[in-house]
Amino acid sequence: MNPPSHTYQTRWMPAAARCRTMVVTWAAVVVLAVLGIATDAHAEAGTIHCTFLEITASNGPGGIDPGLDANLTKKLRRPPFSSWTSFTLEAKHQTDLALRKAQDVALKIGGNFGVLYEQHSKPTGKRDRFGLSVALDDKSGKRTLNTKIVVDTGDYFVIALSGGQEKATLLALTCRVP
Amino acid sequence: MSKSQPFDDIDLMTYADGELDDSTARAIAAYVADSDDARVKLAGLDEIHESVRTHLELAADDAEPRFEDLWAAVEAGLGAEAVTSAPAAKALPQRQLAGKGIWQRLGDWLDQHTGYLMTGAVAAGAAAALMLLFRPPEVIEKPTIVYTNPSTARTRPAATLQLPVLAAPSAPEIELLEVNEGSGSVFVIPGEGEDDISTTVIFVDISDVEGPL
Repeated sequence: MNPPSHTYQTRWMPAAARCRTMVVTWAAVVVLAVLGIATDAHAEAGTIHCTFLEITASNGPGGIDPGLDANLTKKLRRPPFSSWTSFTLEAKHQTDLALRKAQDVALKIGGNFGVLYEQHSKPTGKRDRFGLSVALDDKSGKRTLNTKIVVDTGDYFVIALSGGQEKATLLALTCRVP
Repeated sequence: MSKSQPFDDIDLMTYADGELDDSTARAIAAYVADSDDARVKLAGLDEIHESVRTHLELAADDAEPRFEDLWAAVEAGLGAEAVTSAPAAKALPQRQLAGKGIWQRLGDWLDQHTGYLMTGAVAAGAAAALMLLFRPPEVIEKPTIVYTNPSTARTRPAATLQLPVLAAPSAPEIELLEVNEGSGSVFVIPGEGEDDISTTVIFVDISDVEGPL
C-alpha cells in the first residue's frame, strides 16, 4: 500500500528539476563507468616511441659506449654479456610506431629489422605493455629470426647474434608511450 | 403549570435531544405534561431540530456528487477498489496526468520510487567498493615460448621452453620464436634495486652459419 508521495516527502526542488538532475546523474555515472572500464581493460596508445640500437660487442678495448642508456649499460655488465669487454654503439634509430602498422629499419651493419606494433594494454596498477612482432632479415633478405614479444614500457628487448666468442652483434629495442 | 420539580430550558433541550438518564427523563416528561409553557417550548425545539436535520441532509445530498472523485482517489490510493464510483476513479489518474509534461510525469514516478533507486545506487556502490577491496591479485604466469627451428624440426619435435620465474610483476613474454639460422635461446635479465627495467634477450648462435648479416 503506497500512500500518496506528497504526504511524506520533502520537496526541496520541483519534481521536474529533480527528475532531470537524477537522470543526468545516472547518465554521468554510466558514462564514467563505461569509460573507466574501457580505459582500464583496453587502453590503447595509437603510437609509441621506440629506440633501436645497433651495438657491436667484442673482446677489444674500449669498454661500454657512453652513448648507451644507463639501464642497458647495467645489463651489459652482467652475464652473458660480461663475456665481452667492449660494446660500441654503431647506430641509433628513433622512430614512432603506429598501431598495427609495420615498419622496417635498415640496419647499418646490414640486413633489415622489421617491427609491427600489435597491441597495447594498461593493466590496473601496472605499466603500459606492448605487443611487438619482430622479424630480422640478413643482407640477402633471408629471414633469420621471427618472434613476437610482450614487454613493459621501457623494457629492453635484445637480439644477440653471436658468431663466436670474439664478436657479436646486439640489436636492442625499447619503446615508450610518448 | 406545576412547580413541584422545576426544570429550565437547558433541561428541556437536553430532554429533546434524548441525552438524559431514564429517571430524569421521566421527571421532565411529567413536568411537560403538567406545564403548557414547557410543551410549547418542547414543540418549538422539536421543530428547530427537524429543520436543522432536514437542512443538513439536503446539504449532504447536494455535496455528495462533488466528493465522489475525492473518495474514489482516496480509495484508489489505499489500494481498495472504489465502491461508489469506479468509472470516476479510473478516469481520475488520466485527468491527473492530462496536462503534465514528460519530465513532470517522470518526476512523479521517481517520487514514488526514490527509495528503490537510492537503495540500488547504494547497493551498487557497495558492491563496487567490495570488488575493489577484495579483488584477487593478478596472477603472473610463467612466460612460455615455443622454439621452432625449421632446420631441425624434421628430426626432433619443437621444444617448449619455460623461462625462469621472474621477480618482476610484469615479466616479459615471448609468444612466438622462430630461428631460421643457427640455434637460439632466451633469457631474461631482470631489473635490480631501483632499476626495474627488464631486458629480454634472444641469443642466436650463428657460429656455424656463414654470414647471416
